[in-house]
Amino acid sequence: MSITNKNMVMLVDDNQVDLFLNKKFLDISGISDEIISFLSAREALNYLEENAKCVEKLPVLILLDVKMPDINGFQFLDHFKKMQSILTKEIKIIMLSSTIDPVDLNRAHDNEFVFDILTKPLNPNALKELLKKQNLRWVA
Amino acid sequence: MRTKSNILYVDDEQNNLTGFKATFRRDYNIFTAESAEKAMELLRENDFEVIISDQRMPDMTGVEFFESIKDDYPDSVRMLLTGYADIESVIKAINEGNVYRYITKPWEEQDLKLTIDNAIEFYNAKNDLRIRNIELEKAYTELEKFVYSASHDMRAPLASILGIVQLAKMENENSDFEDYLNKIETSVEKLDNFIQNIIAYYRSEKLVIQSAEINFEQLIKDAVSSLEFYESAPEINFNMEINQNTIFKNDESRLKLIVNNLLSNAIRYQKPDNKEKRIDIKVDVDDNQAKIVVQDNGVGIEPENINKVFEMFYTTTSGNSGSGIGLYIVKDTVDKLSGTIEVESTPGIGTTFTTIIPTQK
Repeated sequence: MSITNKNMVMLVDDNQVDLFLNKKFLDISGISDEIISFLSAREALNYLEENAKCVEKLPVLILLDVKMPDINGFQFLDHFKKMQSILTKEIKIIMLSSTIDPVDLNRAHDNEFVFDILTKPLNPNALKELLKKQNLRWVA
Repeated sequence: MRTKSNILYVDDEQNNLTGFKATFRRDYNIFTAESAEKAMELLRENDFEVIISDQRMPDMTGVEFFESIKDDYPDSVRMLLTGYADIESVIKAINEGNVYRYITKPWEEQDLKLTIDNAIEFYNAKNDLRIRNIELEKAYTELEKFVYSASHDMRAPLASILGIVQLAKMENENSDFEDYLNKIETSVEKLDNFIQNIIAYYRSEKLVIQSAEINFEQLIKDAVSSLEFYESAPEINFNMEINQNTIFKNDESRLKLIVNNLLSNAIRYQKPDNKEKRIDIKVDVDDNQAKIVVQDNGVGIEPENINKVFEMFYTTTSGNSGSGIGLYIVKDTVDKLSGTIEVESTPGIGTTFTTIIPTQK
């Protein structure tokens, strides 16, 4: 694996404990070699916008919390969609929520950027299996 | 409520209208119309418990008239005044639900009064049921939202705790157990604070409004120290400015509920990377009211979300709305104390909640 093709994962969650946990679980799953985390959707969106042209600074995957203050997970997706034309990398999104109801499930599955929505706490093995199934080429 | 019921009588013969009015004006508020057109005008401006119409009128029959107003004024009880010759069209009208009852001409005062009173009773029973139904539907929707929002808020800290336990089991050694215990403690305190809040809210739902002298300085200090468990609380600069030179009487537990929730909201909505996190609390008390302003330099609220902040977090077909139970409780409690609350916000700059609570007389 070359350095220019880092498996960067972005974490977005307003809860510090959950951010810490997701970082740890990602480490355990071994699917990424760099993690950047944000406590708000706004900061995460700003980062993506600022680094839109910098391929090596963009993540391949975003783990996105659904319920956040200010901009929630689904609102993040709306902003993310508008940003597509300037992003120089294809970014996939997995949504995370402590409770998932059918409406959220359908909305997540209908979204072109989201390939699944998972219940918290994150299960590192389930995440690995999911990424394998999606044939993400960078998954060992 | 009006003491006398409004009755509308439609008939093309002026003599009948005059006679009807003279007979019943002591019992009801009588409105008369000599044509369907005139009756429509009266309907637009008044509510009627009962509408009586003559069947044979030049421009429109009584049945046709009732058919035309049924959808716009479904609650009024409609009665037809008719001779035996029209009986077939009357039966049809009753079967189609356009007419409640018919009165044969010529009418007897006692009979007609009894019939009108029955109709009014029918109207009232139907109306009470309708109001009850609306109230029940509203209560049910609130309950549904409450269960959804509360279960989400309770499940979130539990999921964090479960995650830490699972992580510790996976790692076995090398874990910083003290750090893990601290994180579990934070999550437990969050959950506990939430449940206490719900209990306080439900208690206040049942209790009558209490009265006590309020010391705002103490009340706000207590509120701030009860929220110290939030991870970000130690980094926040709380500025208090309390201008209270007069006695202010109100319901202490409800005021606490309002202040606690406004402050915990201001803590949770801070910008994580801001080095100068700030919450300003300003209270001005005069003889008439207490004005409580809570201002933060947090994330702010998007204009599209600002109207929903006082709603419970809920998933509708168009997506998630509302922000949790905290601000819903604030609004509800402020309303109970006959106060007002306003919110102003600029995304990325901060939010200001201004609450005004009148002094108890």
